[in-house]
Amino acid sequence: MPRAIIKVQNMSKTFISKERKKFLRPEKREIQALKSVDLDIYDGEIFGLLGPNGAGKTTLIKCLTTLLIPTEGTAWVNGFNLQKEENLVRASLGCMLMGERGLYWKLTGRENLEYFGALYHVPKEKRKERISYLTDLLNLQEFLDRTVETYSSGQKMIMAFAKSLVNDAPILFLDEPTVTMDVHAARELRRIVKELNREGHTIVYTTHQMFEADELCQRVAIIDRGEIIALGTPTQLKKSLKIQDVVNLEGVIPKGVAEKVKAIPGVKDAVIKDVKAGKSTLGVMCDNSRKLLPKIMEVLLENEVQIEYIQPQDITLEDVFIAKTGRALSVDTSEVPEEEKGGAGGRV
Amino acid sequence: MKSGGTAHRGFGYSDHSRKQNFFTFLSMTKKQVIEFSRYPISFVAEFSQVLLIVGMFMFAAIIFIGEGGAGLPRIAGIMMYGFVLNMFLIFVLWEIGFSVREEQYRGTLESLYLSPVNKFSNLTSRIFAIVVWTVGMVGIALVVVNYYVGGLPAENVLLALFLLFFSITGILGMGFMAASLILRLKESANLLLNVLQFFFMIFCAMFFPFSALPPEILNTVTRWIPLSYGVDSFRSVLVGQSPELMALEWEIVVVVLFGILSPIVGYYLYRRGERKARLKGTLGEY
Repeated sequence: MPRAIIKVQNMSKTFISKERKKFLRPEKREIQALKSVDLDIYDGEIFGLLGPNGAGKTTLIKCLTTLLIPTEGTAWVNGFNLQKEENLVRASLGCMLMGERGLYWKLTGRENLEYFGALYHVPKEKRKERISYLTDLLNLQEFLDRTVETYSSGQKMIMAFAKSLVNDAPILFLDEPTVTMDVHAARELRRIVKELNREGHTIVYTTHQMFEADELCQRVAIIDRGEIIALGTPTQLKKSLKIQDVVNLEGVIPKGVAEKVKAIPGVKDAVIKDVKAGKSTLGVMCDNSRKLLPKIMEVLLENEVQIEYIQPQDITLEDVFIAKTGRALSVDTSEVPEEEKGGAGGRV
Repeated sequence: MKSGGTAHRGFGYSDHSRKQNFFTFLSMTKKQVIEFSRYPISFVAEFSQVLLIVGMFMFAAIIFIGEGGAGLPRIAGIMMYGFVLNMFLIFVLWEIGFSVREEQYRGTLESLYLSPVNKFSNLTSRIFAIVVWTVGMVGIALVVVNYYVGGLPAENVLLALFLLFFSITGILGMGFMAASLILRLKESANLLLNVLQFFFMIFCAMFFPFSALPPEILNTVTRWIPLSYGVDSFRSVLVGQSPELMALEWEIVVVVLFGILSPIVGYYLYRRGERKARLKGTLGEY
């Protein structure tokens, strides 16, 4: 059995929020962002943390990187206790958590890398070597000596990624690193993440994009409302659904239709995955979509649904999330180009 | 189990020796200077502001004493030496206040807290750059005034530098306390710093003799502020007069204690403020 490099034990985090009502004293409300999380992340794996906004992914990462102090529980990172050996935990990590917000905009990219290298106590000569290596690896030449305020969003994200690599830490935390990157840059980043993993780095990767997790992660944890609701390899998680097919139907779908489709014998689940510009995507999970499609269409036509697009697809991690929670993730994965998703579909 | 049973894979390129910690401090100071140099207008404005403030007080003094009046160098000395401490106080409070808040707002404060860098070292690196800059500015202001009034009094310069050193370390501690307040109060802290700046300017009699303060204020407020003794002793030993608050030897003791204890208490309060921010999740709040 592989050895853990991060071990989370019974970790909980509660925030107190104050709600103001006009001039009255603010009311205090407890928000439990993490609920008794137990988790092992193995040495040398790419571990994915998936979940919708507000699920607790960022809270968990912030606790593990010492930015937040957990309310209960503890963790061990790279052999060090989270609460007792904070600085040794920090020295073990490379982090890309706030994207472009983590950079000094009045400094050039090179000065940022120099500075953050120094904060991680990387000696000057090593820093120079490392910056030169990262410049070649991430193609930073074009903008390395410009102040960050002149960068595009994508360039800022690449620089933030470079910053997380400057100390060559054994563990990398990457929180939605491809957000705001174009398709090409995102693909390149994923290639480098795989390369870093082959070199022996353990990588904790959060994303909304299920295909990214599918492509990169050896294991994933799906987190919802502060709890880990599923954990395993992407294949194990998808197999655990015990269904064969998923069909996505896009069009003008009135409320209540999903329930009617769900009532068709053979349909395991039907959920509105996304709503955009008045159009919805209905995801239908079943054992045999070819056999059930006429029946599904019949129900849709009876309810005056205007269907514009039918797309049978392989089961994704988003379907695992839907099956576990009965809800869809808010991110529109249909915006991802076909070449990135590897899916098939056609207009009707 | 000591490591919780988890694997250990080293620290990459990080070197945690004392020598490297010192170089990290230098790099942090260098970054402050580079950032400062990227705001040339603010650079020129601050410098002009210092000379304008000095001019304002000098011309006010001349109105009361008359140009070439016998007491002008002494009055100029009282004002300028108080001004020196006032400059250190203002620059330290504002530099720490603004820079911590700005980093919290921008998100770079979280980046800083992700790194293993010593937080004391980080705070002092911010102040170190600004203290060096302030020394330059007050130095030039002193030269200008010295030339204008025909020589400022400078009786016991060595003892004055000794007192200035401990007053500055004491002010440094006040800066740490300000940083702790910033983490807690965010925007409102800037307003508070503004008030505090004038509070110390008046109640520590930075631009006038302590005798100008009403006895009630002198006894209930001024005598309870350690910085008052820094102003009084520093000014007295340079102008060559007896201190106004207590005997010089006792004032020296207070100033040295202030210079040693204030950074310790200030840093303790900063760490408490930081822990609260990490518990509440407000380190990166903007």
